[in-house]
Amino acid sequence: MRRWILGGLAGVAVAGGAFVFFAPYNIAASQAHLPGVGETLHLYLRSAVKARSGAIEVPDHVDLSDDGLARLGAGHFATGCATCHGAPGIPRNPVVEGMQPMPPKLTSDEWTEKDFYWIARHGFKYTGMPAWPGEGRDDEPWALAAFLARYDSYDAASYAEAAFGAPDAWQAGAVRFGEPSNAVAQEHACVRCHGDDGLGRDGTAPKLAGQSEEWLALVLDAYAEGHRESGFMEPLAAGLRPQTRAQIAARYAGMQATWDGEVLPVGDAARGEVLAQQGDEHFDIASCASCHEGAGADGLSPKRADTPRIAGQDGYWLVNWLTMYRDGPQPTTPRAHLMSAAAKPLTDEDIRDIAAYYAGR
Amino acid sequence: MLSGCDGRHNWMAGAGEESAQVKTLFIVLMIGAGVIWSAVVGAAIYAHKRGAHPNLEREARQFVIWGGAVLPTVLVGALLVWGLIILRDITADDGDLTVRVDGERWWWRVIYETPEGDVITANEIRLPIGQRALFRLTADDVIHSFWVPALGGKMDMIPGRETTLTLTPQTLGSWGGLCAEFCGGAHALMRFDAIVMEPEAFDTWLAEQAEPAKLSADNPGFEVFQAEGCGACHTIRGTDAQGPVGPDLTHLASRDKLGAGMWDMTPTNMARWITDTHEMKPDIDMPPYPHLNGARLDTLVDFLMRLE
Repeated sequence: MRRWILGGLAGVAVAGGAFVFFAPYNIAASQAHLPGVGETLHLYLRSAVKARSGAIEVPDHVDLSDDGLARLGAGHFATGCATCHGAPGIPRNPVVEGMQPMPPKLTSDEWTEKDFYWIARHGFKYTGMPAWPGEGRDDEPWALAAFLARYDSYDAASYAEAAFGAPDAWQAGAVRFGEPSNAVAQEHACVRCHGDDGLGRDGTAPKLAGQSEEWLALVLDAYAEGHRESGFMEPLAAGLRPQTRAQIAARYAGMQATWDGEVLPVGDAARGEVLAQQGDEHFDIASCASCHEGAGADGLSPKRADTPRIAGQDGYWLVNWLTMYRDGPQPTTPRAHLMSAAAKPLTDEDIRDIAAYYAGR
Repeated sequence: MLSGCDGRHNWMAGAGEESAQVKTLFIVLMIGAGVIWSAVVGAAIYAHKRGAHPNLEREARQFVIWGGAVLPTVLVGALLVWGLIILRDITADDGDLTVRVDGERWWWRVIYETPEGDVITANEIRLPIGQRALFRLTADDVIHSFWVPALGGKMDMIPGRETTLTLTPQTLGSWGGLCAEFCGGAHALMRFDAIVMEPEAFDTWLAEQAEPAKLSADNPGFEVFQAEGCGACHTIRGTDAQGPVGPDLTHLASRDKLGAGMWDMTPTNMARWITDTHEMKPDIDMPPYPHLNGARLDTLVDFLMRLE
């Protein structure tokens, strides 16, 4: 009996070794799968997504029907996805047609919002579908889920409007492979989400107008050099030369604007005010105001140039950033650990209350 | 174990009424234990030498009942009563002055109650000699235990409850206090000095502690303090720095030690505390400021060392 088992195992090992060495199954992308293989793999892929997306919960501050969130998703789609998947009214480069499996043209019907989130966050092995470029930024792929959930409703013009800010901002002739961010001019890469006026295109992206130049440069450099994670910003910042980054920072810092932050429907601003202004002895919460306020014409800008203004920023971003500082990925810029120390004792409720307070100022 | 014999932390030093009571109890207990041990061993040797004698069975039974049941019950009962009386005395809710101490990970928030209001300080307790100080003890996060071995104690500090303890110091000097209940990473570094002073000197000290910080209007060190965000957590009374989280720094430099009873209050230690905080005291909530250096750090340290 024992001899039979050992013999069987040896046979399997030899056969397996021979399979790997002689590679009888042709993995050439130019060849179609044998009948049934492609279908089985795709079925497995579907099951793998469904088995994992069910347990995901949409955070209470994320509104997947929000137009701004969908525009942000569209902008990122243009940066990272359209090259392979195409976009409404925009053809893809013929190089993609040679892929096996070929990246599907997308439709809202095939997956749920949570499926889209999971796929955008994690990607697929062996298919060319990458994971989310901002390692650990679990808050970000929701924008893509919001966009893809209404993907079928876009035509070329409304997609271009959503992703680039104007129907004619995109030239189909500029479709290049591997350089998606160069398809529009670099300054347009900022404008399409942050807006011409630096006010974030009505909730698409954070407000930048009038933020300190030092802070903007510091963060843009951090994105470019891998000191701060973001799937939205890293792919764009990485391609910018240092002097271009400095120019962008100066340009947005020079804009004059009043911030009128979008307040989330969650969070108690009155409680947030107490926490932000006084801190809390028992829960060891430091006062936000002592670093983030105290200067500028309205007294609501920070005293230090390397600290961001938060008063009047959209609540959505304040929640995401506070959560990022608390749970990671922690930026590795010189003073980021101070913010992490401040965020550490905050509960989800504290974060929403503080965001409600500052968004409304 | 041997570090317990250091005079500052020696509970047999008898520097306070309460520790003297415990010391007396301990000495009586040890002498009694010695007598009983000798008697038991002597009886065992006697029984062995004499050998078995069945006709003495009744005598032996009496010996077991009186020596093995009645005597221990009476002795242990008496000791218990004595111990409970001491416990009652050292937790009695009255004193010549009242001090509230809140245990935090890993330091002590200290509040003197005075007729003019609370006087807040941290990590150092000063007491007038011969006066009975009542401590009202609480904990902000986990269970701590308040102990000044040379003076008396210890007493647990329990979140959500107030416990009391009295200390009546009898010997001038700086005595060591510490947390006697494991409370996490820096537990062993959670200490304080209990300094026993003449009553007049104590009154002067307390009056000084009650004052706001004396700062000149143009103070570059305070500007660094605020620009670095220190005021988000720390209070310096009389300034905009009103942070409630960490120790009150109004009279920081008047304390003998830095980092909750750990390091001498020197500019060198202060600078290191700011830049290498977690090297000096691992796990604490205060973040390090390694980016501070040169003139800016010197200015800040100089400012802090003037907070007397």
